[in-house]
Amino acid sequence: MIRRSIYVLFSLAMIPFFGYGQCNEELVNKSAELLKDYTYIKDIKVSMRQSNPPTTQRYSIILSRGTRYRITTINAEEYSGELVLKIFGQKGIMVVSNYNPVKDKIYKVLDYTCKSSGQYFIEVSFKDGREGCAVCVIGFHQKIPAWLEKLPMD
Amino acid sequence: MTNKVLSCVLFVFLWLCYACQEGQVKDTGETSESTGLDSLDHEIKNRGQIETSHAVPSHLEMSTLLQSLKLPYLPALLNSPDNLKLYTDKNFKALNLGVYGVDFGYMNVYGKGGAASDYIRAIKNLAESLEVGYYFKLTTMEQLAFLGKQDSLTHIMNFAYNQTDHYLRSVESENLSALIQTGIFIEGLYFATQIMKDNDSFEIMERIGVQKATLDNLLIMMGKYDRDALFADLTSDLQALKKEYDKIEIIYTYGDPIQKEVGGRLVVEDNTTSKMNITQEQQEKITEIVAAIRSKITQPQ
Repeated sequence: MIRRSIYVLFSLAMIPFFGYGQCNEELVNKSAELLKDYTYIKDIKVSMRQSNPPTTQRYSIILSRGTRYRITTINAEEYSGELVLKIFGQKGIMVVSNYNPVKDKIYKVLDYTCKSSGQYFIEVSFKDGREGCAVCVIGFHQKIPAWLEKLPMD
Repeated sequence: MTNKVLSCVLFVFLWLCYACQEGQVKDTGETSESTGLDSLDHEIKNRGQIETSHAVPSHLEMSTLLQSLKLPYLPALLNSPDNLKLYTDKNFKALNLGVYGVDFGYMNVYGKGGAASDYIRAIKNLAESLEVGYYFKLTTMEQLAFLGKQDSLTHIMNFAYNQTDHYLRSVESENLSALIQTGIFIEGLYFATQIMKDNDSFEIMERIGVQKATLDNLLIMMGKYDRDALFADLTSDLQALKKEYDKIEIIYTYGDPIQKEVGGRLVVEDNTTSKMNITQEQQEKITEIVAAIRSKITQPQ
């Protein structure tokens, strides 16, 4: 009886350790695969419990003019949470989100061409405050587009 | 009696497991979903709530810019792997793990990965001393370098540096992470400022200027440990650099971004532009301070 109780309790105790098992390097690799010809530079792992209102986390990142960035997101299948990502530029103005509320669509791949160098903020949360685990990978492509070469360089 | 003891042990065990799980799920930004500018502005001022570890550009970004501008490869800029023996202190090992990462990135971007074996070994050596050697797969890296698989090598190295950063933070060794980031920052800036001496490039000048924001974030990270003599010394040097950076003016002109869906991807072109005002004198002063800090890091007394 005691032995069985110990086994049951031990099994229950182990659940939390495996609960976020997929929020790991495997998920980073899956997300990095979506970069294609972009060069991987950073990854952000996000895991959150269900919350109302949705919990948010913010990360500071430096982006450079003339650089194309690709930001990819992959959600762990075990959770219903889908990662919503927003990028805020200087003065706190939102420049892009991977979520289109009109279409109610979340894009896994977001390509962003930066025209002003500086500090940006990536804000992440899970749609509707659901529990989730996800990875966001950021890649870059240095090729300087023609439009940038035409800009005044004073 | 035995049952009671067992129950107590199991209760404590379960409680510990629950506590561990609490730590596993990040709950740092406990604010409600915010799209308002006021709220974000408030948090920008109070950066303690914003994760700044991603705010230092990767060891590769400056090198890629230099290569894309078709500037010549200058091996004299690299920190010799022979200097490895000088780094006996753990803090200097961390600083130079960042430095060698940039050096390696520079060599690899210029297609000199095949000659980078000494650098790969230096990186592995320092990483092992810091107990993060697991992330740097020496044999794989050397094979890729030998085969000239530049892209794969870049990916593996970037990945190793990022996983190192995640790991060090997870084991409360953020001080080492801050030092690696400082090494990356200073070495990248050292390359850019030295190359600017002989090349009048607006792109490089702008990239030097944008490090103003990086520097602010780095000072937040380093400032947490300034009770340590090395951190205090480096923070003081970075403050002197910040004094010069504060004179640089960056003007932003807001423009609405254009968004479209292309093949299932969201493609966004931002129309906010920036203009940087940096004088020759400011540039020279920054070059001088960066060279002095770099020398302290790579040639410890």
